[in-house]
Amino acid sequence: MITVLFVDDEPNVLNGLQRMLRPMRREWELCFAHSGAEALAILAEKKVDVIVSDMKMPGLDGAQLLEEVSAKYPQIGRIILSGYSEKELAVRSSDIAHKYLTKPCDTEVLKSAVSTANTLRLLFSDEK
Amino acid sequence: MAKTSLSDSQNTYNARTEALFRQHQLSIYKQTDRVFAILMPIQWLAGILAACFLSPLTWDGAESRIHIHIWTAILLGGTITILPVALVFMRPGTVITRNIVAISQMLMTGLLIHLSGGRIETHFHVFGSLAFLAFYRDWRVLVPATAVTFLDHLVRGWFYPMSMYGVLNGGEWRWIEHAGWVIFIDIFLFTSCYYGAKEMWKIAKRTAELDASEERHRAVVEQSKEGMVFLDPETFQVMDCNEAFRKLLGYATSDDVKKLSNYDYSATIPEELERLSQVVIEQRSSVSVEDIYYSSDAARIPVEVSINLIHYGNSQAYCCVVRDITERKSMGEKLQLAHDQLEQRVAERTEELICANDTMRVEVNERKRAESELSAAQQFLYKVIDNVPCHIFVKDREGRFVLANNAVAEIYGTTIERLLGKTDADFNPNADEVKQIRQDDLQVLNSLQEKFIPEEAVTSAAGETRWFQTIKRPLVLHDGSVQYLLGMATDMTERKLLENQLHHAQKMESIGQLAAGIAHEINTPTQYVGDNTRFVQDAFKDLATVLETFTGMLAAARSGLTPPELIAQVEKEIEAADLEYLLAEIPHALQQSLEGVTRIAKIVQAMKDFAHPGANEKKAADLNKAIESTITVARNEWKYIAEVETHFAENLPAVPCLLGEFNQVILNMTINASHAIADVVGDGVNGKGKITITTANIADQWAEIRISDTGGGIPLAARNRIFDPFFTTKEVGKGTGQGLAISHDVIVEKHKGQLSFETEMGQGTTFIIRLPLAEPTSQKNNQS
Repeated sequence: MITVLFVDDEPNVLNGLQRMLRPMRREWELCFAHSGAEALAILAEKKVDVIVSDMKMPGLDGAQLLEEVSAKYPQIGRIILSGYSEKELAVRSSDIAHKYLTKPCDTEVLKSAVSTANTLRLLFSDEK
Repeated sequence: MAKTSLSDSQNTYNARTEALFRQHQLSIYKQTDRVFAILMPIQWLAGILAACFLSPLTWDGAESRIHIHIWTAILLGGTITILPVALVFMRPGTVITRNIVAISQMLMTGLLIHLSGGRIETHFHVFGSLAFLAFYRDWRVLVPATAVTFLDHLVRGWFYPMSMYGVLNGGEWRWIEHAGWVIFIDIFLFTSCYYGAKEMWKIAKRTAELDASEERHRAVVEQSKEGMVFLDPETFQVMDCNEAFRKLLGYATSDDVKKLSNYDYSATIPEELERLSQVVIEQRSSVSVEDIYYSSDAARIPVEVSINLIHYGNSQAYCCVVRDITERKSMGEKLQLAHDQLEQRVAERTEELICANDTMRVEVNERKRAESELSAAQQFLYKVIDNVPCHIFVKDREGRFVLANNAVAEIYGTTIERLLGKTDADFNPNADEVKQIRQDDLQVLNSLQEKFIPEEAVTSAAGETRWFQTIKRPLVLHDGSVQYLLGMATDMTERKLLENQLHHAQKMESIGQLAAGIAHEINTPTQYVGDNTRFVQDAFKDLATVLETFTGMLAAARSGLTPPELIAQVEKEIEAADLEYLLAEIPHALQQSLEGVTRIAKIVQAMKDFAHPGANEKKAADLNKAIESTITVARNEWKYIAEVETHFAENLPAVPCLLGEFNQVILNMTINASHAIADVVGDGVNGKGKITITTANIADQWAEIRISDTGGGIPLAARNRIFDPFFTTKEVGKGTGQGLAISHDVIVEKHKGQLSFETEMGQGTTFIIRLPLAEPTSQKNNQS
């Protein structure tokens, strides 16, 4: 069982992800946050394995959030899921995330990205 | 009206001829008067001497008689001489003087005949006197002279023939023979006087013509907007200059400038000037250079100087036509700045900009030279006008060209000779332009006010539209009359092209900026529409499995048996599928998917509306809808930092407008508003700002759009400049400084609307756009 935290300011996106990932409910525990601040609050209370965040959000945006996560919780796998193009993402978030995904993102791609991030995380923590 | 003025001009011209003629006549009268003032005392003396020497020899008698003749010569001769000589000194040139001179001269002739004892040789003095009187070139003077001679001959012939003919009697009818001779010579003298006067009239007329012509051309040079200065070809000392040149350098009078040489006000060093003058002489055409001039108060003035060597009579001079290019220079610098900024986003446009910029710098200097049959002074002036690197023309009240330089003829694809005497209508195929030109011309001639036309379209002979910046002013002649219109035009076609490209570049810039945002706006709903659909797809499989077991149970129920293991299986499947969850979630999933699809459709529609093809003609449009679309397209630019609130007037009728350009303005305003708010609220974490867009119908005259933001307001120092092109307070890369300048152009110039703003520091700014609800020319008259 791995814990995945999704962050997006658009509730419909979170609802959609929740429904789409329902078949994974036995393998993944899903958490949802509507803003960067809410995400940090959840992280403080709960052990999370992978975080999937939107980029552009009011207040704390995706880049800032992931920067903080990488500083405070380096063991968490970081994925960006954004409505902007890959080209733009690459410019904006050089090394704050392990993987960049663009909306709309295929279910299988998202699933494998989360799994890979988790695996990598385990590998790195093993090495440590 | 025009005819009256023309005949006025003719009258003025005749009056000038008349005055010159009178002046010449008067000088001849005075000169001849002086001749007689010398001649008559000489004759008097001659008479006295003749009396002394001749009387004793001719007259055989007592001494006392001799004395009488000497006394006669002294007294009578003195009497005759004193009056005309006095008049010559007191009233020279008058009719009375002339006639008294004539009568006295003939009386003196009579006296001399008497003193010579009526000798026939002395009678030739009559012819001499008449010939001298003909010096007056006034046949009327000969009349009293002839009359006096006739009367003298008649009276003395009858009563004292010895005095007249030197015989004791038989002189009664000899006056007829003498009168015959006098009339004979009078005929020649009258003819001579007539032709003499006629010749004088011709001279006066020619002088008047030359004066008028020189005056006209001098006025062209003096009133030209271009500075002109004529330099001595050896010393480069100023020989003459016009008013525009004096003003440029800030000198009050021509004399102040004439003290200068070219080195005193120009940055050009002597070696360079020598070289340039060599080039001018070798190329035999004008050479244009950029130079820096220093005014009387040492201010730097960048100028473009066109130098040419002109020949007039046997002399030469360098003619420099000087144009102040300060504005063009600063324009050039600003263009460079814009170019740098645009480069980052619109690289391919930059190439075109550089190209256009280069083209603009190229000035065409070639001037054909027409052979001139005019006098040296006219040739001089024509060459000056021909060499001016802009379009100069003079038209009369009927719109006919009376003067034009090559630049003007070239536009109409003709020569100066063929252009003169014709009107614009003879060359310009565009009737609307011709009508506008004629209207402007008449306005200037009737109002006597200079008219500045910032943009004027003229269709050339090749059929292409060229744009000019034109100044028209009435040409005031020496007598204050205005018969002609002086026009000076500069070709702005290249600059206008450049402006259009800048305009386009700005539009591309903002669309480019929007593209990423729009993609984001579409991608986000696409994500959850996809997710929800995937969920429904999965859910349907689970539901299908549950339904299958239900179908099995239904079949069993029909046969009357429902085995408990079947019920247990159904319950297990329901459990496995989490049926309760599915039944609750599927409607939400579908509902949210529909929302997403609607969102996408709305954005796509708004993009279609926004990217309305830029039609050239105004069409009635729903401004509320247009604004709504533009806000939607730009949503990603404001949604994180501001709320947008709209208050649309429902009674706003369709407004005639260029929709594409209008959308561009609303977009610029919305983006500016969100930038202003971003400066205050930062990334929006501590609450967003607000953009309020209101439309209103103002008295069925105007559609008013107010765009308010809760930004920081416009600083006092920037308020006067925000509509200037290239003015920006945004950091490099965030704005070209074109947005508000173009908005102003679109609203004020293209729509005849109004664009203003209200701003308060710390409170925010409201931009107010007003568009006329009707085309300005059509409705206004009906209402008033």
